[in-house]
Amino acid sequence: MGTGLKVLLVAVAATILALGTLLPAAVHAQQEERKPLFVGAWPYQLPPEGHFNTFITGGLTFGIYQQVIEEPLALYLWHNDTYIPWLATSWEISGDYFVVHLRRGVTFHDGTPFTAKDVAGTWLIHYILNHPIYAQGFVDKVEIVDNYTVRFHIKTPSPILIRYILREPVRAYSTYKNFTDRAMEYMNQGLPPTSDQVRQLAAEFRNFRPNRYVGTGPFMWTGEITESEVWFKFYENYWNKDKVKFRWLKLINGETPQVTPHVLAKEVDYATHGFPPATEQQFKELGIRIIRPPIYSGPALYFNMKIWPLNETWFRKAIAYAINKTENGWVSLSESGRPVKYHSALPIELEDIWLTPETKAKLDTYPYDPEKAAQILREHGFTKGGDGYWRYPNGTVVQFELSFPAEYADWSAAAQNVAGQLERFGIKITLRAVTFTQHPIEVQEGRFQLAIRHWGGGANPHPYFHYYAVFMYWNEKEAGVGQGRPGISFPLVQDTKCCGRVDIRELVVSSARGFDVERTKEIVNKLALIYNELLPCVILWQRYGNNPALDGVRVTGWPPDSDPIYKNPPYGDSFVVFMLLTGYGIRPTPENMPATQQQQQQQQQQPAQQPAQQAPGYDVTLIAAVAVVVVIAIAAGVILARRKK
Amino acid sequence: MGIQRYLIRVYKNYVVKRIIRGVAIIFATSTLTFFIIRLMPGNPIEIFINQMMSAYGMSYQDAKALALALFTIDLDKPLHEQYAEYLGNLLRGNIGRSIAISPGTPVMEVVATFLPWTLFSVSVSLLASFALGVTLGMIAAYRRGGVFDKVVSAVAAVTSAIPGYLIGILIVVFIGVQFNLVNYMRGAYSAHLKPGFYPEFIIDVFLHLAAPFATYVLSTFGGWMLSMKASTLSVLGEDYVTVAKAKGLPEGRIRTQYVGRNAILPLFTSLTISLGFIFGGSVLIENVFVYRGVGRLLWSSINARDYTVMQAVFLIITISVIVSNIIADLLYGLIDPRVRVGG
Amino acid sequence: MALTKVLKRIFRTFVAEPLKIIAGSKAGLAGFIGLLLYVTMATIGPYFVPLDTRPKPEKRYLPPSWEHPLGTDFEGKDIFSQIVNGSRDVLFVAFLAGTLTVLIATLLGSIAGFKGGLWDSIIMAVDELLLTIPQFPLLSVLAALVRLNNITLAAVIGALSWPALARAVRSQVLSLKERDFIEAARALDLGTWHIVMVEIMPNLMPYIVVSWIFSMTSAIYSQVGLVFLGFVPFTSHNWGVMINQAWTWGAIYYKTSVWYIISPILAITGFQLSAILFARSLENVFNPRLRG
Repeated sequence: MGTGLKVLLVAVAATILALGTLLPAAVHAQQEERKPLFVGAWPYQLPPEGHFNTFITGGLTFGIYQQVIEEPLALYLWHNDTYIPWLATSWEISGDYFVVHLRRGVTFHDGTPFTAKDVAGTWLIHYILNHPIYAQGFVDKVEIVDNYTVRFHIKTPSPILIRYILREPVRAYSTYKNFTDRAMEYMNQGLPPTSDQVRQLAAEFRNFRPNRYVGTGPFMWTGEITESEVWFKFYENYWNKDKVKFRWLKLINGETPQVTPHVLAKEVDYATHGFPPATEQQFKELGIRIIRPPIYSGPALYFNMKIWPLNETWFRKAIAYAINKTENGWVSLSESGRPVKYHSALPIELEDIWLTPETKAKLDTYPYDPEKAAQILREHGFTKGGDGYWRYPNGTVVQFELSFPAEYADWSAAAQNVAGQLERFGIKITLRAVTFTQHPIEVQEGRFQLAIRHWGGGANPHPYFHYYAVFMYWNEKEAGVGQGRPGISFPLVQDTKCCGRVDIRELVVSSARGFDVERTKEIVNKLALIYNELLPCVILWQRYGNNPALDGVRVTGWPPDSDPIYKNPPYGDSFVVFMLLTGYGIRPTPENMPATQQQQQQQQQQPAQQPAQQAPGYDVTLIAAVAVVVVIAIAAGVILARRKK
Repeated sequence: MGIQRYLIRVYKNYVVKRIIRGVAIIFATSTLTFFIIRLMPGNPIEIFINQMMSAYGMSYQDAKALALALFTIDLDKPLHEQYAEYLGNLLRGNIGRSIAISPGTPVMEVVATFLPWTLFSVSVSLLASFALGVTLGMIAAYRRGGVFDKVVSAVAAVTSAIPGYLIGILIVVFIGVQFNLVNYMRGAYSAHLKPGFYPEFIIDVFLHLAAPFATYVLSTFGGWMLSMKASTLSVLGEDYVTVAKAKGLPEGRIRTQYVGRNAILPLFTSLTISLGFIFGGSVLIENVFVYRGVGRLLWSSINARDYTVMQAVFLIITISVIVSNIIADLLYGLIDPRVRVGG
Repeated sequence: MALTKVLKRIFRTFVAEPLKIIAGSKAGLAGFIGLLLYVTMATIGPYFVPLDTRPKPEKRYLPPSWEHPLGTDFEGKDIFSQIVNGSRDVLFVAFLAGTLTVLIATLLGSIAGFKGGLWDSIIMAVDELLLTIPQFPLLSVLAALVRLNNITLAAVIGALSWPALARAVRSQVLSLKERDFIEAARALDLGTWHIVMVEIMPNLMPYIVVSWIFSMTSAIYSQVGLVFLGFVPFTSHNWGVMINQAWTWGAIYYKTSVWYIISPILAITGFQLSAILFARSLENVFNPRLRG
């Protein structure tokens, strides 16, 4: 090798070594500054893709963490169905109006006071964007009564509107006033959001880019954002200052694959991403706790009822008996995939609230009973061939294609397991993976035979959403919603053994109406019986989160698994946001306190041991040995090569 | 008369012909792209609606209402009208606003934020990998059958067969997690630093580039090495090399002037194509190391069927690939004087 | 008889001689044996190692053992049997796609380089068009139109991969065509076909062989991404599907599940390594001057 080349190589090596020594110093320096710190994770887009208009796509809302920046009127607890007054101190239904009374003494991050204008303003922007409370006809007008009172004119009573209004983050009037004032005019003129003038305003609004991001919450925008992470700092004049235990909030960007290494490095205190079982196992072995709040939905097997025998109730029931749903849940998501008991289309936790014991007694729990399934098929003339596959009365082999979204790890596992189990039972299944943006379209347009899609309405406590999911969501034509696409083609007017002739659509829609809880309960119980009898889909299992919660590094005090706060779903009424805002549960570890406080505590007690960093327990020694051998071999080769000259 | 002859001379000129052909291809490709992406199943509104429904539990009507409020695209306009509009805007230098991933945001702004970093990270890594691979390949060819050749060839064969993202994840999980360096394996620079030309920032940038750079080089140098070795071998047996040796020319000179220049020709072609494609970003660097780049932009725009962003990014990639190909064709003559294009 | 003589000669040049040369290089022999193993696995392997199809959740993600040489997957199914049963389709598509790519690229690249002029312009125009057309959108449009099998899959991969290689071949031909021996051949009026196939091609052989190997490996890996488009028949033993799934299910993060993603990659790496080692012998076969 030429001398020049040798010199170059040495120079490069020296530079790399020099840089390497700089690293530990740089890392250490950054870690010392900001305490107490809480680290979460949420995917976002870097500006200019991401921006401050938090009403539209691309807005830097950071999902659940928006509510520690832009606070809502109230918080909600699922376990006892209560709202906690937050920016609103009280509310009531008064005649045709829903009236909200606001808290005094609250200021925004820029110092301006929080008043009724901000709440009304938020809902005026939603008017421009045709939010469900307007689109579904619950509310048609927002009015400011005085500086601390707002009222909404109710067009169609429903408890759903209360939840929408109380849980919505309040934006600053000062940011959006250019649009709220004009919207107020249109609203007072009685123009619906679908009118041309309002749509014109919406067209303008989506190009609106505020140059500031202010809210009333404890954490405020710092401007420190990269594609990797974003920082928030504590708002010194926060109205509920004494309750908040953390002073810095850092959010890591990324989807599951990007966030996993950070969790493994114990750099993240809490994440809501759906981690697959293998990753979760590694977390557990590192001593990271896994919290499993209910997601209130899960995968279900849907049938294209334009195809015989998928349109026969007895066939669908046979399939339900033929699948071991406990196994399916375990294979897909380990402990976070739990089988349901009552098959009422309601999530397990809501069943106790809404279903009466009489109803529960009448529900079929569809246990794993392949014998029963086989019996049903035989009763209808099916026979099992010598190759193990069932045959129709006319002799052809029973086979179907099962499609599922390719990228959803848990559903893809569920689909494969269902296919394996049905094959074992004697039905031939071909699998088809479709990319996740395309799969819903295929199902809606009826281009499937069997498909895995969701049941359950997610983070919505009201049963309406859960029954909408199984009866109407994938059934547009029959339900008269959406684009009228065929979907599962499940007829919604049917004769039932439990309840006579029913109009399911009517029942589902009316379950959302009115404030009479008893009446709603009646309807819900009826829907449960109808679902259980007609089985438009077979519920496989209910999904629970597998949120890693790191205890002992920066944060400690996570409540035990039995705490009722964990009935709150991670994506809707996040318990972590609840705890950050109210000071319940989690608090900083002694190491996570600023230096002065640390010294004080050190004088009083022994500092807690920091858990040692661990990498996944691969055979590190083996791989290290291999690496060393490879390096030596290359080096030897190079030396030998030079010697040959 | 003079003008006519001048024009004919211009027409026959290879460079001009080449450029005209390049422009024609760019036009053809962007037209095809326009129609292909609209033929893709699904459209931005559909996909947005489904996202809202599955991620936020919205009903179809609510999601559709929101979509209509948010989206600028008018999908009902006939396709050829949309195309004419697109061309018109393009010629005026307007590549439009995003319609799906960030409705209303001008595409140029977004691309301008990401492109410099993509060019920086990928070009540095690509050129280093090329240099390393080519050097090793030539040495291996010269010492064919020796220890160096066998070891390096085997290593190259193995590393180039393992997908880069896997090597990247292993680096992050082993070195990053074990040595608490994970923060330096994401992003282009640290969040608390404001971009600028001061030493702390520049060092920070290079520290953040280290891991993606190492992974990229590790996973790609093998390909260059084995190709260079093969190409060098074919040249080494040539008569003119024997002649040069017989003439008593110094070994080093033969290596670089005769063998090297000829052997590198096909690799040089591949290099220029790869350089053209760096405008499309690197999936490896951006996904595994969360490094800002055009690749993620492109990927999310494809998933959301954001036609404007897709068109813009694909156009940029097309132009850069064509331009680099033209440059490559023109440079062949410099590398190997014997090459005569446009013959 | 003349026929026996011809047959004997064919056997000698195409079988006996090459085998002798292959055996001459230890590395080449190792590579040859490796490839033979893969071919055996692909053709008769499935009969000896039947595919494990029954889900056994309690046996999930077991580390390698005598019973399960490569461990088990997310449902407790044996990974080794999946690798063996998947090899046939995967290697078939790889071989077909790689060969198609190299054939088209070499042919078109040589003609473009050698003939120049209009031929060059037209071929390179098509080349650049295919090079710059966005591949993923094109593939997703195709996926909606065409229901694929192995052969169409290989054809699609081949059709999209040849442009880059063609340009590289063309540049080499441009350099070669001005050489004395080519000029001599042209002076002797030996015809384009002869010059390209007999004079030019052997010089390109080492590079083409290496490119061919890389094309095959790349064809296997492209199947990983194509799973999302529904292009690849979704069978659990297809190596591309295995990598795709292992990746989605985070198999890489846990010490026993990591075998689920390592196994197909090991298989592919082993295949490429064998091929590269074997290529060493091929170099000797094609370019006699190197045999010394």
